Amino acid sequence: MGARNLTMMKRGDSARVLAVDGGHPSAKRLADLGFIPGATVEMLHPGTPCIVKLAHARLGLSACLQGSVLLAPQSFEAAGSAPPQRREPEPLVEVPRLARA
Amino acid sequence: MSTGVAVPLTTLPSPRLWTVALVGNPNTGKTTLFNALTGFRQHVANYPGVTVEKKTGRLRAGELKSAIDILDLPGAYSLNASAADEDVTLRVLLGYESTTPRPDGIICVVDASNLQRNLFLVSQILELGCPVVVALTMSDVAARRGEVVDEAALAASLGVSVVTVLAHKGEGMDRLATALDAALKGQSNSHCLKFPDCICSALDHLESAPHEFAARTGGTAACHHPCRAELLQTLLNPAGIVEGHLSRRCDARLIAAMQQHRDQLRAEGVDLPTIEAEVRYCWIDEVVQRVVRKTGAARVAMSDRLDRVLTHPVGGLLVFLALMALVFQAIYSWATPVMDLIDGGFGALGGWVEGAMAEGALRSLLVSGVIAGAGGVLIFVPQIVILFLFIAVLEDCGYLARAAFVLDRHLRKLGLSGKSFIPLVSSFACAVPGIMASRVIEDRRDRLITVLIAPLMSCSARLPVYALMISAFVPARTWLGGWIGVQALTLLGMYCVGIVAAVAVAWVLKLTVGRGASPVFLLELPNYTRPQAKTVFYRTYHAGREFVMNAGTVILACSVIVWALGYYPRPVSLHAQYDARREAAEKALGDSPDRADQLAAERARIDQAEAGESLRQSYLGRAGRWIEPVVRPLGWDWRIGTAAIASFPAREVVVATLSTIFNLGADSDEESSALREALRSATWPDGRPLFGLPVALSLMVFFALCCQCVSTLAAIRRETNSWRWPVFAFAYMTTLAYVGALIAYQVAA
Repeated sequence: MGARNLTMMKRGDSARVLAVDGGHPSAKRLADLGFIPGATVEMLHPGTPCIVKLAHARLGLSACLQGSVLLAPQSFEAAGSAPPQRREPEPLVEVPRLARA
Repeated sequence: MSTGVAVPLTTLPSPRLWTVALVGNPNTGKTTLFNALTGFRQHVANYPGVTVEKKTGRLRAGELKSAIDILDLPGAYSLNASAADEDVTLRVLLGYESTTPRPDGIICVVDASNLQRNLFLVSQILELGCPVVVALTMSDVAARRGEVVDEAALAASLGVSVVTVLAHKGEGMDRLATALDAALKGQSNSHCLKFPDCICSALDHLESAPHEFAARTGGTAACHHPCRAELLQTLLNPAGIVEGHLSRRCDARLIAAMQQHRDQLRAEGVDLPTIEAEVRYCWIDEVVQRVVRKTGAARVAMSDRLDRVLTHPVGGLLVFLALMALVFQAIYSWATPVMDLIDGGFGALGGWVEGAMAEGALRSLLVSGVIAGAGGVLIFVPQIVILFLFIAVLEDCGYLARAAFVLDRHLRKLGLSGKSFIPLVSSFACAVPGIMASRVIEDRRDRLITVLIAPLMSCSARLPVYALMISAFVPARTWLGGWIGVQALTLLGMYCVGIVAAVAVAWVLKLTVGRGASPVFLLELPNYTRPQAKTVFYRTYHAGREFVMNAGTVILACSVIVWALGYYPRPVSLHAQYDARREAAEKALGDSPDRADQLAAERARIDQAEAGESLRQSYLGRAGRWIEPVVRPLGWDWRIGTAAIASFPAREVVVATLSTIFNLGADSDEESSALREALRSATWPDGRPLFGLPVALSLMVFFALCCQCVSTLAAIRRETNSWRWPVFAFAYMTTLAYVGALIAYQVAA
């Protein structure tokens, strides 16, 4: 299965960010807003533009931005499979540690 | 304001004036806080070269000794500027803005209900080495969601004072002022996050590089030594604002070294665009875990439920259209009584001046130039106030972001984004507030295109022209029991002419002036909140004030110039000639009292004829006859041409000018049947009727498309900060109007 991105999410789906396409001109802006590896996004309103929930913010994104946010496939949670109560975003423990040798 | 002078604080004479910048993410309650801190002592200006508002205000600091000016900077998510307004924030904070001294301190507004994202900017601000105080807003919203932010723990984590404020209730203001005072007088310790070693060593090298260069060349290190925060922003953000600034101020070798380090980092596998975010959010997560306490279960936010309807592609559009209908209904119906009052007031003032003063140039200047000119524009103040009231309410409650979201997909086809809609819709009332409303658009290119096409929306000043022409020359035929009429359809057609032209021009501009990728739409949809009366009031007040100031300066000056061109020269012989006619009438009719009415009518006729003849011989009239060959293909004679020239200050002036030229008093309005009759009976020198449906259509199309409006041009000048764009708008719209009128006339004839 190829890389997934925000365009493939349905209403209510949530997933974890794998990476932001570094070649996109708005990559830094997206990263600064919190689209970093490990962050949880929830699709509130699919389509173009779409609305996603990131941490506590609701963000409207145009099509070209949606394609540049890549998602970890195994983290996909379809709307139906989510527990009935609302999940709080978990602490982002999976952020790769940055200590480089 | 003396900043940047290296004088020890103790020797400074007190009280000293400090400048403190108010910084924060958009939608954090920054404006509410600014209004609460400064009250009415605000000053709004524009930053030179950009169209971003610069708001300053004096802090209302009760018992504080120091005087503090608060500078409200545009909302920004990050110091890596991506929009024109974020750009300003960065430039001011780093001291690059020549007209604004680098602030002495920073109040960083942090939204407690969205702590993670807000702390990103805070962590960047803390590295600037400037005294910082954090103002924590929206703690009530966070509490409703079951979260409490521990003020003391946050202060300990950040190393700066944190004050919880509820600006709309005025809570925490005194504590904020005290903390600010202490921070300004205390030591500021710049805090720096631990970046990966490879980045740290690159920064170390770049920091010492200027000294090395200086030592190598044997000269002094005269050029700018960038601080570590500047170096970091340059290293990770190629071709950003900071790099642009450094490449002008620093040794070229520094930029070259920077590029080498970037290449090396990339080779080591560092993702330059995201590394900063990864490091900062990693730190932020630790801070959030320490300072946020959960107090209860989270409830589904009301905002999410509302958004289901309001951002729905169909439902959202319907709600939007209904709201716009309400706004326009309000603009027309609420404003009318006040506008009539203003109109009546200026009419009465003019009449009073006319009666109180002897006839002469000064009286004519006051009545025709000043009162008619400025009054003609001030009459629109109620509409502007109502429009801005609605925009302020809709924006403050969070709806405007949703409207932009819903309309984005439709405007995208024109190369615009959702943010252009409000300015364009506002322009149906008046292009001036429409152009002012374009400030909500971040993208410079979008904003420019929006500003340039906004005047094509048929504004209320075109209505008098349409009303006059349609009632005089369009047959009043109706179908379906009077529900559909040719006259109403013609009026609708005129509105469509403007919209179609705007769509075409936007499309052409997209391909030429605004070349580039399709605009990126990235918009935060804030929580719905109850609009703050104070915020709404200040917005409306400033918009209204700005409009009145404009009417008092540019528009007044233009009215006076047109008046002078239409008044001078006044040959004595002409006046004498009409005096002789008046005397003759007096002799013929003055002896018997029962002919008094007839005499008065005769006098009025002679006065009107004199006014018409003197206009014909004025500079304006001469210019009109000179341009006649140009307007002839449109079916116009010199009189219509003159009226068009004279309407340069405002389109509605054309009705007054037409009526003067066609030998009526200059005060008759578009409802005047006498003016309609005069237009119908006007002829060419060879006796053919001058007006007809083709001429009426060409005149209407001309006014639908032309830019005969000084206030619009002045607004474009102010919003783009350049004469280039108003000149361009005037040129393209006049060309479009001429071609449109030509086609209308030639096809209809």
